[in-house]
Amino acid sequence: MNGVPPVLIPILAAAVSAALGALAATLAARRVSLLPLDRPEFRDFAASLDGAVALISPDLETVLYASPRFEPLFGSRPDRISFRRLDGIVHEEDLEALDTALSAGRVRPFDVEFRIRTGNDPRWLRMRGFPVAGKGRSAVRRIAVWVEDRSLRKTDELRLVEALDYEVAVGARIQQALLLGRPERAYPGFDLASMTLPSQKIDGDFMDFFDGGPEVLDLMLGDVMGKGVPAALTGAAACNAFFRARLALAEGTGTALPPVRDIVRGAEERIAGKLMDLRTFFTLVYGRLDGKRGLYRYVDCGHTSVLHFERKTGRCWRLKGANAPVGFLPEQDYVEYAVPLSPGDLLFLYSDGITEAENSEGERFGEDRLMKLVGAHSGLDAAALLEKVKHIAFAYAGGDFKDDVTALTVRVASGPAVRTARRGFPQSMESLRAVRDFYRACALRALSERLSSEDLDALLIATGEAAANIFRHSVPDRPSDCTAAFRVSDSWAAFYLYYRGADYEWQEPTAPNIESFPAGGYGLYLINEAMDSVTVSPGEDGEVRLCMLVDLASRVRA
Amino acid sequence: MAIETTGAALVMTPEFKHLDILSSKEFTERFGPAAKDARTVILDLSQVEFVDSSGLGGLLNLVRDTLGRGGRISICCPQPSVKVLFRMVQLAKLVPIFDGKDAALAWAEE
Repeated sequence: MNGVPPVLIPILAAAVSAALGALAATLAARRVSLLPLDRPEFRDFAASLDGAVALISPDLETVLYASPRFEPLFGSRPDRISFRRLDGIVHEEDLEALDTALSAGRVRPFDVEFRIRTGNDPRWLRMRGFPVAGKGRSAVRRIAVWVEDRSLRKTDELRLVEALDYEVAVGARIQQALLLGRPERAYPGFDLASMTLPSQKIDGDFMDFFDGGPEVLDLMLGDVMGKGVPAALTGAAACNAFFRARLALAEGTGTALPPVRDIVRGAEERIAGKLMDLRTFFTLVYGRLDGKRGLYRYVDCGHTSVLHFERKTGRCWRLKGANAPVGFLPEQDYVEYAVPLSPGDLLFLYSDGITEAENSEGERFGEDRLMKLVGAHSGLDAAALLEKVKHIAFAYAGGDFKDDVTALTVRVASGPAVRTARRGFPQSMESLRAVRDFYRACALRALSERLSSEDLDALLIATGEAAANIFRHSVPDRPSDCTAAFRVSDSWAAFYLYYRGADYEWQEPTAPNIESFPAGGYGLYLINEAMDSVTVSPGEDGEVRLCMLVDLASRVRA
Repeated sequence: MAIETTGAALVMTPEFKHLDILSSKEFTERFGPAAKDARTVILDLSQVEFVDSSGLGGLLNLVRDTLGRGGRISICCPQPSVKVLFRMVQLAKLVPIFDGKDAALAWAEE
């Protein structure tokens, strides 16, 4: 724009609007019928404006006054324009909006944009109008308008919208092509389904699957910080890092199934430094479904909890992790967890697009609601369950997800033979020795032939510590029972305690220094030292599940 | 609870089957004062089948107080489960641990 910097245009326009308003009031007060901008003292001012000032008759038929810029803006002399018949002057798609605005302009201010036909490139005009009183209070009002050329700015805006649309389209294509993998084949032991609903803003959700043999499937779900093409590209780089890490480990160790923790660590080595340089990160849960062993092993890096519907208890539990997102730290000592799966169990992995979906009151869908939903429809097959969740969450959000929604469901169809024992106890310290005796009897019966006596003693110390920890820190408001359970297969044994109480961090991998006579801190260390995996999973309504797992396949009896 | 002086040592034999969160306070209240004047203490754990981290805390209090006043203390006859706990927490860094009582008495005479 010549002479006036674009940034000043709104200020200038506002000043002119204010001047027009004041002038109109003055005219009304003085009972003058026309704006006197054609008088010498106003003529130079009017000619210097980038926009045009005009006064339109109440019937929209006549332009009563127009400043010099009117003609170049409209491409026609003011006395040849009627605002009742603008066909041929105004773009046909904008006629209705302009007519509506002008009609309303007799009683209230308006602001409208429209195009003037000028050959190939239409000229964008913005018109702001104000009703101006005529003679007498009840007189029909005329309309004072300020018109300015918005073509340059409008073109920039349209280009920006076009560029954003293009970016969304590219991001969506990257996401579909590179970030959302599918299993290469079906797995008889699992019924598996996944879904993605891209939002208007590509989120960088990514999902991939790696075949690990006849009954083993690795699956990962991640979410890159930020949105758009940058997030999608980072997601693609993350998938690539995991693929390369897995390949390198498989070649280096000669096994098709490198440990889950090693894969995550290998991917981190390849990408964490770059992410930190770029000041970005991603959350992730990388898991391994092992149908033969009936286990789900996983490393969680700050992602949303995996929901585990457990058929035996009819409850849903949140599998949480303790690791930070990838890219937060140069390197981490990743904690890997494992939980047993049984036929009828269900895993639900999801991105925060579901739980952070908001209703019209701004209330989030939330994890508790999702957990209840999954539990209530746990009888459906995997695809039907996803559909159900999608419809309910979509309706909750009023048909509009702000973020991508990515979810994955696995229903376990088969598993190894498992023996189970369980018993209820009052949840209080009075039960401590009885719970210890229960675990001891189970372990001696099932594991004395499988483990060394030292390993067995360490497990029983750990189970005793866990029970004491719970009875000390989780005191129910009212008398309540807890349930101790023991499950054992050929390749693992798991000690459970289902109780009511607080959820807190159970990780303590470092031993206190005995030479400093520590007052405490040994309990969690002993549990983590003796067990191969310890998961504390909050459920619904204050219930918590502790699962302490021993990987029998990795233990050699002395 | 058995407390006797054998040679140069005060030998204390707790009769707790479980030295755990339910009994550690009683252990500290009974054995702490009993050992406060002894120069050499032997803790005979032959009666104790199970020790948890709270019980370990009671033992550590006794060890700290004895060493703190310039005395000596050892442990003897731990049962297998208790030995496992001691190994896990590396208690031998602080206290000599003997499988048999005779070895502990010989240590006391050194």
